[in-house]
Amino acid sequence: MINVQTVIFSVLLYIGGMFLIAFIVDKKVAENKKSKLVNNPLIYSLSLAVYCTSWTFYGSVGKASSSGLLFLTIYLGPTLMVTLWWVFAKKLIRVKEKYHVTSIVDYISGRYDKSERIAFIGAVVVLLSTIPYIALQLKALVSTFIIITGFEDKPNLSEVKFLVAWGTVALMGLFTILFGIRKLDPTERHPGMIFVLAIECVFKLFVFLCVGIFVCFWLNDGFFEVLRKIPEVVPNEYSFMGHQDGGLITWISYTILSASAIIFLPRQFHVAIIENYQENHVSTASWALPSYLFLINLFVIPISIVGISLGLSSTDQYVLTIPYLHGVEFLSLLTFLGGFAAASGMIMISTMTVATIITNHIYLPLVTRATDQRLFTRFILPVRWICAILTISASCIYMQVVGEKYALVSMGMISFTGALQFMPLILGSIFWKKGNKLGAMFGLLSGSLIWFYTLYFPTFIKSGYIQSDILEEGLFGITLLRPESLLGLSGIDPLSHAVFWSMFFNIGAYVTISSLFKRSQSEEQIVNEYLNLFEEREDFQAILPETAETNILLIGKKKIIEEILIRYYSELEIESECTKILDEAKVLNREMVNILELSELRAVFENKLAGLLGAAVAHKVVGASGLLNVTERNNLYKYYSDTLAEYSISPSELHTRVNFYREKEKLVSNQYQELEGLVDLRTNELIERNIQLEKSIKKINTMREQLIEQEKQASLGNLVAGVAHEIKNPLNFINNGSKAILFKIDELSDIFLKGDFDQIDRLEIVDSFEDIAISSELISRHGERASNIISHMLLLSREKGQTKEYFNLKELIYKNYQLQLTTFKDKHSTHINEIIRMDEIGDMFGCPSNLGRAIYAIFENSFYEFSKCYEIDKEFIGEIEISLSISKGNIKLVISDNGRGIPENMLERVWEPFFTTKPSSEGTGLGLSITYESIRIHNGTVKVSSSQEKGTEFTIVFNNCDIKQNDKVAS
Amino acid sequence: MYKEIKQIKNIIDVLLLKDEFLYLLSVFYFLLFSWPFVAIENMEYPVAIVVYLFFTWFSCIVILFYISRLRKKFKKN
Repeated sequence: MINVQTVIFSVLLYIGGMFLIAFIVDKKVAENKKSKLVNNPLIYSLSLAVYCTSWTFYGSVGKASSSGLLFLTIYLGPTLMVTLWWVFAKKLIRVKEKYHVTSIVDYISGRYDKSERIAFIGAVVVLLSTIPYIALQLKALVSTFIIITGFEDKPNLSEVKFLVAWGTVALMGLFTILFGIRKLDPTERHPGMIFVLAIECVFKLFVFLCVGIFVCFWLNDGFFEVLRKIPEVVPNEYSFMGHQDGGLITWISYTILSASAIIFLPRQFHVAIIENYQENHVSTASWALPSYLFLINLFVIPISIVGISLGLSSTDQYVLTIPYLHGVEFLSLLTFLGGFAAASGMIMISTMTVATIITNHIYLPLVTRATDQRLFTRFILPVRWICAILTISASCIYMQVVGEKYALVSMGMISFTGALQFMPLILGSIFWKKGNKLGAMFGLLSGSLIWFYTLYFPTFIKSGYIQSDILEEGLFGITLLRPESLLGLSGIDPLSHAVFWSMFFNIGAYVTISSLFKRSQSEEQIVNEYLNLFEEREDFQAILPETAETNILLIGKKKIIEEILIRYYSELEIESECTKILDEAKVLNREMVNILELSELRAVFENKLAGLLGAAVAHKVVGASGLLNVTERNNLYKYYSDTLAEYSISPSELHTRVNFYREKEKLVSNQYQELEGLVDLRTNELIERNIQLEKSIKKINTMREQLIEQEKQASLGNLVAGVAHEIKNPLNFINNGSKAILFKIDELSDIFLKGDFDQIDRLEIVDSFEDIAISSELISRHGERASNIISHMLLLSREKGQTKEYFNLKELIYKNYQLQLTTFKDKHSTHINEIIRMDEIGDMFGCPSNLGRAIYAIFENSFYEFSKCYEIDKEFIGEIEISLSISKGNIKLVISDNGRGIPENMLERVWEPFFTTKPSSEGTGLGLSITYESIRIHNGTVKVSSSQEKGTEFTIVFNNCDIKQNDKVAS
Repeated sequence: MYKEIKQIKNIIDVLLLKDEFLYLLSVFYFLLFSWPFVAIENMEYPVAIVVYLFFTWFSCIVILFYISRLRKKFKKN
């Protein structure tokens, strides 16, 4: 048991905290209208969770304990409905913004020709459907207060209940007035209240999760362990755990009811539509609200199972009694406050909505009939306060009359069915153009009467306040009129029964009468305006024609506006409100206006008043004000008819054309959307391809780098192997030769030590000296060869380091050719046929020594071939052809011979270091490597073509050479 | 293969953006939520039904979240 003072102090502390938060938020938003504190999708989504009242907090567990999974429909239905919010909630928001809609009743009344009668019926339905809902919140608060403070067993229980109930009424009344009914214009948003709602929603979710975790993980071994107890703790025929007779109908009825309730309950409509800042917030709410509902229901079944297994009696209070019985007082107090948060949020917002609806659609239409309206209309705000107090008081009485006999959920479902009566009218207003005022009125009236008779009325019978025979025998003893078996329909639960018949009559009357009767002219205009909003058509800019005469004095019209405003506003506010209206109508500071401007002023003024009084009363008040008198109205009609006559279009033709252009616009809009979709598709594809391409390029670059690295490694390997091989051979000879010399020297030493040389000794000495000479010669030759290799390698490594200068390439070629030719002729007495065609190309910029060695190596190979051919055939005559030319800065040098040629399989390898077809004593295999490297660093390329026994041709091309004209070229 | 999958994903995205898809989604999940109460005998698999309903509900929320992101992205583009 927790001390009463502690509980009351906690509640007051909680209320104080919430009020402080609301006050601060209101102040912040007033200072900065663009503040994102409340104008953000998260706060919007959380505030929508006001749907989860104490019914959810306590009642879900109660329902789960008695009816298994049926409680889930209350949250699955909203999830399904929220899926469609993209389609219609946004349209409702647009209408609200444009026409200053104040409530769900105002929306219906506004759409159906601003009908006061529809508004009145709607207001009564709202009042009747809200009372049980607030009653169930009060019931939850009272019963949990009694449990937590331990008054259950006290003898004065009924007095305590009475006191607590009316104390709560007073507290909630005050709370609601302070939070929600401080402003006159109900379309103005309540940022502080919405922020508090969001915090309350977070708080109750947190508390519920705490209780769930306590039950599953503190008292038991986990979530699934508790679930496994289901067959043990509940009987086998436990309902709604699968298929059973009639179960599906009830399941579907509950789902439909809850789906409609998430938007058509007056408070839900207020939070979702009236308090909405931006259409786009709906998008976030579409997943955030179902997520909230999912989380708050996660532990309902485990808590229910644990409650049943503990043998607790009152199923609705399991959430509180389980921690309370286990002595966890802090959690119990927290749970009580969570339930209080859930109930207070709902009571506050519902009472505010009902107070506005009753004032605007019951009180004001009545007082506008009075002769001195001002007497009644000056006090709209206090009237709203009284309405709020009366609504909560009526709920308290209902709770005391009916509440004891009904579970929380049953009371809630009565409200849900009441709210369902608005669904056909609102969906019809969006999706069915033909729906009209008469159809809507009869639909709402018949549906509401059936709802009242089949569901609301029986609650009083079952509570014993009305003769109980009616339930059994029907009204006036007519069995067909039995409230829970109307027209003989029996075998389904009372709720499904009420849903079926109320919808049957509601939709039936709405569709039938709307189809039979035509809309009035004014209603036609409203439907078109709504359609424009729904289809996001842009408003046409009014073009003032020259023909409209500016002859109406504005001062008289301003006086009329002020006379109306004075009924609702203080004298201080009138001037500023009037200025706002004139400014919005774009006639501020004007003396005279034309008929079209006056018509616009009237529309703006009516719109402004609609935000205060509701569409129906505003229309009536402005209509009766004479703002647009009979003459002016006739002038307006005349103006329109003249305009039509001017264009020579009959009204039917005008309609046809307008329809045609609308269809066309719709088609273009659809095509535009399709195209946007396709463009998006293609863009995505291109982005994907681009990403793939980038990846491929990156991969190729990596592979190229790897290949280059491998090539480098391979070249290095080849070079090292070549060097090792080429140096090793001479070194072997040198080593062997030196060993042989040492051996011979040893032998000679032995002979000389003997002193006495015979003939044999002499011969051995001679032989030894000969061997030493041979070995020395070998050492000398191979040492020279090794030295030669090293020199060539040094040349190869120094290629890049040489300084560059302008030199005559032709002379360089010729000099090297002559050098080789002379050497050849010294050895061989044969003739060489030479064809030399070298153009004067000027001086080339480069390294003459490098290029000289390169060209020398080519000539060396050619003359080597001539030598070999001559050795084979003494009749051989060598032929060499040298050609040098220049074209577009590119120098081309071709050297060909008629030697033996290079075998095809060796052509590719001629540039490799140490590759040679010559015997090791005649070549190092580095000549052509040096040639290749020298030409490459001169930005040139060299190619070799050869065919065996015919000769070899080297083609060298120097690209984009830096050439300087010399004297020879000039001459 | 990856390319084909991406193309299919793009087509699905375009479909998800259509209002008509929302009607279908709503009806589809209504059927999914009601299915155990048509097909499974009462109390035969109580834990499985609970897990099934919550899992189906969660999947619906995930789809709604994805559509919400998609619409936001589409509007931004």
